[in-house]
Amino acid sequence: MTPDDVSRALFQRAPAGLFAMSTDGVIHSANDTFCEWSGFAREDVVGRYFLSLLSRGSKLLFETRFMPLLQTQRALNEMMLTLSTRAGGSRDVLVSSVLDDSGAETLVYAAVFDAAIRLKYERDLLDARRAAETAVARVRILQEAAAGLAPATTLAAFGSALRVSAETATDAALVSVIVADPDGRLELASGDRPLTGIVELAGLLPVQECLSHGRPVVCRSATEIAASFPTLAAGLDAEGVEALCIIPVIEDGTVGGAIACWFQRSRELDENLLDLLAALATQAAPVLERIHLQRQIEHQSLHDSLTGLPNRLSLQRRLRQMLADAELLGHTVGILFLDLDGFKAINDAFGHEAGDQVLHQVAGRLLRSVRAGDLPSRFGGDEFVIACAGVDEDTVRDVARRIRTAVREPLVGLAQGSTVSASIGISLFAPRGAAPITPDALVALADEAMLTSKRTGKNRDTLVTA
Amino acid sequence: MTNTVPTSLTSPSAWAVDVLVRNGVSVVGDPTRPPIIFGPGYGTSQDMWRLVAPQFAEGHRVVMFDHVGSGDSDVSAYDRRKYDSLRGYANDLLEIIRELDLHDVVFVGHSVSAMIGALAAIQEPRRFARLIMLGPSPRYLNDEGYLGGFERADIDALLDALEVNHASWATAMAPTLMQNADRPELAEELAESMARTDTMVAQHFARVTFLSDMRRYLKDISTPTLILQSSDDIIAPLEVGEYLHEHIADSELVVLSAAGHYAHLSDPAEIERQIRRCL
Repeated sequence: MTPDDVSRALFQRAPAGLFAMSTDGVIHSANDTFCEWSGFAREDVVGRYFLSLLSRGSKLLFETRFMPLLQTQRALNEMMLTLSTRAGGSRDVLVSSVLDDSGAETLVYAAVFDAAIRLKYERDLLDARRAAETAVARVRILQEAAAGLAPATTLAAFGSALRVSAETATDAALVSVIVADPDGRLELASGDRPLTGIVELAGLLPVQECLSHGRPVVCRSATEIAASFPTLAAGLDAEGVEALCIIPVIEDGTVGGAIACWFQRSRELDENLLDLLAALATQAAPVLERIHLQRQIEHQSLHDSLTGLPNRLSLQRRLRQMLADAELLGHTVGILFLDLDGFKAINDAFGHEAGDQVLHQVAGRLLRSVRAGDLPSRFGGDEFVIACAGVDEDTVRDVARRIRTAVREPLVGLAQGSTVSASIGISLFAPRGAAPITPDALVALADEAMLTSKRTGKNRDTLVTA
Repeated sequence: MTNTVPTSLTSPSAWAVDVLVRNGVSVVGDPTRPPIIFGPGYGTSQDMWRLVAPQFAEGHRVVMFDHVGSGDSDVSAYDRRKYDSLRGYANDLLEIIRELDLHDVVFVGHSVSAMIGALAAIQEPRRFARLIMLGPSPRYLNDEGYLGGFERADIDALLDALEVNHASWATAMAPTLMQNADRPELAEELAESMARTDTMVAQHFARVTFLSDMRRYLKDISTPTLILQSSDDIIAPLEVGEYLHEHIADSELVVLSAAGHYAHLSDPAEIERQIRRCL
């Protein structure tokens, strides 16, 4: 063979596929090896788009990454692609290519190496690495959630820590953390939510469904949303919500809240992701329970457990604020001190349980008789105190009269048919020109006035001005 | 109670730099003339418009940009939640338009930019005079009664390939970075870290591009639309162009004799001619 023959043979039979193509991907020339690998005759290879010899996944890669990068970098080494052979099989290859614009037409020269073994190994490696990375990401998200949740003492801090973790886990456009108080009232603890100002929180049906059944609610596309929640579909659509998932936070068997993720494209929301969100919810549950308990303790420390009214401590705090506001605004503050007439007799005749029922009924009647913004409280025993801001003598007497009328209505329960009445003392404090007064002093004045009412025949009110 | 925000924080000029730098915006041509914006496709940068866009500099204000995460954009602005849907990209486009105070915009979008432009035009139709879509697709996956061209497994193969080939990106980028580097080993490190970020963005953007379904929004496009579909574009088959034409009310479909998904590179003169028809 002549040197030229050897060169030709080398080109045709090298253990690598060689070809040249134009920048729009049409093959101009190819060697025997390449034709053999593709399974096509030479005349079918030349003039064909290189793209048409690739698997669909590789086509996407070639068009969106390979060609643009080759255009800017002018050379690209060891790109892994999959040839789709004529017989319907596939062949994994490595492609190295250079751009040559020295001639009249810019050409791409490519060398193709068989890489079946190496690519299988790479794929296994990729699977292993992905699994490891997913596990690491999962642990990191849960650790960060734990660190954020641990110090939370308020619903806002709780919600914020949980929301941030759910955002990292899902990339959701919107994440809302919603909590339900023991009475079932919903509160947005953190984040934004769709349909704000259009439907109430309680009207967000996917959230409601999750909370009432204690089960995740998942819609992966706009079609699924429309099928499951037809009344909300148009509204969610208008805000670009195309998928959603709501995960319940279940504390001690009751649903205390939910993590709601809203997506602006259809999402696959696979088991891995839903599991991770469920793990977040599991972590959050005891924290939510602790915060609820703290709230309950705080509520108990400020309320009377028998009547549910604010207690003496609560009255002191709120009255101090009321007096401070009155100084600023020039309001008059009135205190009504109420002691029941005939309560001891009922206690003696029907027992303490009957007495408790009376106190409970009187509390309800007080709430009915006062104005909005007035603050009724149980002071102790059969004594109640009502603090009223922005009153004058007439209005405060009016309140007192309404209370006395309501209290005298016949009782129900164990003391059925009996009646009690109210002796009331009223103290008024007008800040203008007067020296400041303490809450205790103002209440003490009303207490004294009440005693006057008692002495002068009960079931009446006596008013003094501080 | 109302808080007083310092005017420097609310005035547009304070944000000006941010938006334009974030998206690597370049503006050429006559600022007093009608604007044309060129949007790049998935995986590409504004550089792909180099044979077409400059032809309009005379007589137009020509605006080019890169999507965050690609080209000359500020990759640190890549927020996975924002860019988890094409809406994030559409909002960026609207911010650029507002920042440059553009009206009667002719928007030329290649590939995924076509749908990004459509979303922006649906949101603020008064800013747009024309949409020109080059190789668009509202849905890449096949569906019942719809031929998008791809199956879910093909997208997985792409996502795998992006990751497996990550080393190739790094080696491809290194020479560019090394050109001006005093210490080439640092350039390699930089290339490696850039390739990492690049792969992360490319994978996420691929999911958003190839798994989104924009078909439901087509009926809301009120802007006159020109659809330019190559006769043999593997990414967006001809049927997809026909589907778009059927579902966009005021639209025209032109099947290009030009080849492939990058007709603006393979036949720039034809693309220029088609755009001029609309001006």
